[in-house]
Amino acid sequence: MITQEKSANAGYATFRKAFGVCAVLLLILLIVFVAAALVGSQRLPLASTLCALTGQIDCGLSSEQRAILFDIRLPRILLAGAVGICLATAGAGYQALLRNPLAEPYLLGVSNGAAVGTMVALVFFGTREWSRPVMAFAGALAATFVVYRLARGRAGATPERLILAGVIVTTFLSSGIVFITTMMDATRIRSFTFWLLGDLSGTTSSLLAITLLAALIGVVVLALNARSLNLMMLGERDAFDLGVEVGRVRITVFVAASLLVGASVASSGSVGYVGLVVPHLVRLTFGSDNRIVIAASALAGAAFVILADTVARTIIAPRELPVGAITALIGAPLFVYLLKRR
Amino acid sequence: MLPVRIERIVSLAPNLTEIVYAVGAGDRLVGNTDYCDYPAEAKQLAKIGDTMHPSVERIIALKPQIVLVSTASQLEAFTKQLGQQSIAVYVTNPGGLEEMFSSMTAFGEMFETSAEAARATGDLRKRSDAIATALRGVPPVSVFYQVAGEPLYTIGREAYLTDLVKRAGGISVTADVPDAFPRYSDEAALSAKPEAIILPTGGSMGNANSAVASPLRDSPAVRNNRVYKINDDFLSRPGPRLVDGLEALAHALHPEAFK
Amino acid sequence: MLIARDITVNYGDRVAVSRVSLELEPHRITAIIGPNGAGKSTMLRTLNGGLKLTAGEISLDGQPLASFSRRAIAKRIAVVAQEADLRFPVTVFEFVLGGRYAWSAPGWGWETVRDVEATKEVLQETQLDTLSGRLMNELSGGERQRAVLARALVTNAAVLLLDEPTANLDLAHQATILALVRQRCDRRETSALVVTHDINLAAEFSDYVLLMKDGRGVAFGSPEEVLTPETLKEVFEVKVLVDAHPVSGAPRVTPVHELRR
Repeated sequence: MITQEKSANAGYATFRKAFGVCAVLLLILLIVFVAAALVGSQRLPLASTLCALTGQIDCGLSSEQRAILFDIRLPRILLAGAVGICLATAGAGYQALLRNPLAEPYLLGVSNGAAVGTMVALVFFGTREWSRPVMAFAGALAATFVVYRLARGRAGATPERLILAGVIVTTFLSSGIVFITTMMDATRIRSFTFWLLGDLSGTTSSLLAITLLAALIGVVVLALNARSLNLMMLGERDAFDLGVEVGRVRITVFVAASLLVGASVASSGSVGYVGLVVPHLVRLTFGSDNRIVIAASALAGAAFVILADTVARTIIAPRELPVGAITALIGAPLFVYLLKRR
Repeated sequence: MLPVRIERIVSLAPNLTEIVYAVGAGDRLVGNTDYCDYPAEAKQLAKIGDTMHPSVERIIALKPQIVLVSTASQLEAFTKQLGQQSIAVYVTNPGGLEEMFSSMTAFGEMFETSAEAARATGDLRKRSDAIATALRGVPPVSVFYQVAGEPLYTIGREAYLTDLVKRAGGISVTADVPDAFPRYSDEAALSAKPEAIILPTGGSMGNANSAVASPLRDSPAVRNNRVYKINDDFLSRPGPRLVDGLEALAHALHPEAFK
Repeated sequence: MLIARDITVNYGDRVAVSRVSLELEPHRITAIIGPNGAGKSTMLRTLNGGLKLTAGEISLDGQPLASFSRRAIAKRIAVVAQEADLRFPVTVFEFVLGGRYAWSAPGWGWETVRDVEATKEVLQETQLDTLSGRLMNELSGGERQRAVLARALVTNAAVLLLDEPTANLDLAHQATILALVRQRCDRRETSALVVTHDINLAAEFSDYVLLMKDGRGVAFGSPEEVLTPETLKEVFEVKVLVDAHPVSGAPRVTPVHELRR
């Protein structure tokens, strides 16, 4: 690797760099967004679609095309984006906090905790929609708490112990989910299995709004703690010595990440690999400074999930695949490649 | 071929239970699944679990001579075990009306109730022929058959229900889609514009699937109030009541043909 | 200044530090030495609030340490521990710049010009300026330890606490690290406390020595005063010979091993 040794300030994060990174990623996101709006069971014309998206009425789209665009595709793309933001940012937060580039909501038991919470809400509070994200958040927090207690040894909860405890908890919760699924009657099993792999269709506007709100809150909270995470990422004790309130940051990040994962799972099930692959790619490309990584992961995560969902709903049209299947298909080989590069 | 007259039968699927009763061998059933609830007598029998995961122990405890299996069950695992106990296993999965009639005839032979079986089959054929006659020359209605709402599932090419809908004077808008029960995209559903929508619900399904999925809320079917709820037990069990299902479908889609 | 009075730290039943008092002399280097398990590192860790005290008080600039916020302490006391955890790729510049955390406003924000300037100065001071663009894990052990020191120095804290800073370093780097600390003290910019197991290095570089054993303070004073054969035999249970270093004149401790041939 050739580095510039001319000046002493090579390679640190500045506002200008962050702005540049975000501008590029935002542009990519917009392109992916528009492309996703055009594509589906029928292709919509570019000019008319752009015109309609900017809010004009007389654009040359038939009423059926307008219905497809605004009632089906747009909410779905927005949800995909929100889910991408939630999962990628949560992943970035966990990786910094646990000092492990392999940390991810699924591995830590948080996704499954949220899934169990959602299932409980569906079974006991079926009609009240808001109960799903609330119970998912509770489930995610509970899983985090259990994992953390399990991981506490004499040396504190080291990242290795946390990952190990997380794997134990996630496996346990997985079998719990399978158990609940077998108790359900056959008619619900099929739809539930689909949801467990990530299903971005059939969400209501209120769930979408909650997910978008959660994404916003989560990203803001994590961004505010980005500098602290920069130091914690290099050692908790060192961070403490340099002035970081380690205990407070840890709780804040865990709660914010649980909020993000809970909202995402409640609205669309478990979409895997996003929290693992996106922050990793972002770090490899733009460096480890969390002020950039968190914002960039949010934007890149949104684009990634929108892309994956577009593939999921077009590749065997008119049938559909669960979006989690696509993120895994893209994510797993990409991850192996990334591992080999290190 | 079984040399002895069969006195003890266990059925592992609700539709097979109904066929056994229809051919007059119901008094020889000694066990069936939790979901076998028709006719009423079927509910009183010993239960051996459900179609997907029956309890082999309980089956063996009932000492049947033959176990009737639908291909929906996990076959290989227990056919060997039952074979070791000298229990015969008969696998069948009627896919459609004609196959169902054949099964009835086959069961009649197997249980030596051929006369009764022929009578029952004859009655059912008469009813289905009556439908065919009434619908001759009547243009078919485009139908969306909603298996489940959120997420959206429908019937595809390989489902016997597609054929049943055709016999009832309808044409499923998803007749060409590969698979038996495909997961259908919301957009495609919105573009389909069916004239009628069938909601299989009630029966052992309870209240599930009793609402039209959101992409279809603006379809001609909903606007013209042509959404029909039909007892799922008539449609999802390939047994004698399939004809009840056929009649219900035909009456819903073409009321004017049955005045 | 940093004053610790009657510090006691218990881990359950085990007494790690028992009634140790220490007053850090301004602009001087104080070394803490002693056998393994003497409680040296534990003692150091209490001084910036990193460990809870079972008994005793610490005061900083006349106020109780507990009354300061984390950030306020970090501006006044900096810690140099052994190598950092480097799982994520970070450049030397970024790493050292991170030390300016306590000087920034809480929440979102970027480093100021002052922060960048301070980092550049410290990198020159520690002779890392040519390496500033490299990744931390591309550096040698000695260079990495210098970077860790640089990060502590960039805080401009008045007190430097160093926990075994030379433990894994070769002779050349050992000397460099301590020379840098010495420089800062001589310029009246810092006071330093160094925990080390290397008695001779302590004798060479420090102005005062605290000798600890089994959690207690056994002796305190100048190296000449503390490093006597009797005291050392009692504490380390080894016979030693103490003479003066031929070049620096500092006490030189040589163990005498009775080996049978």
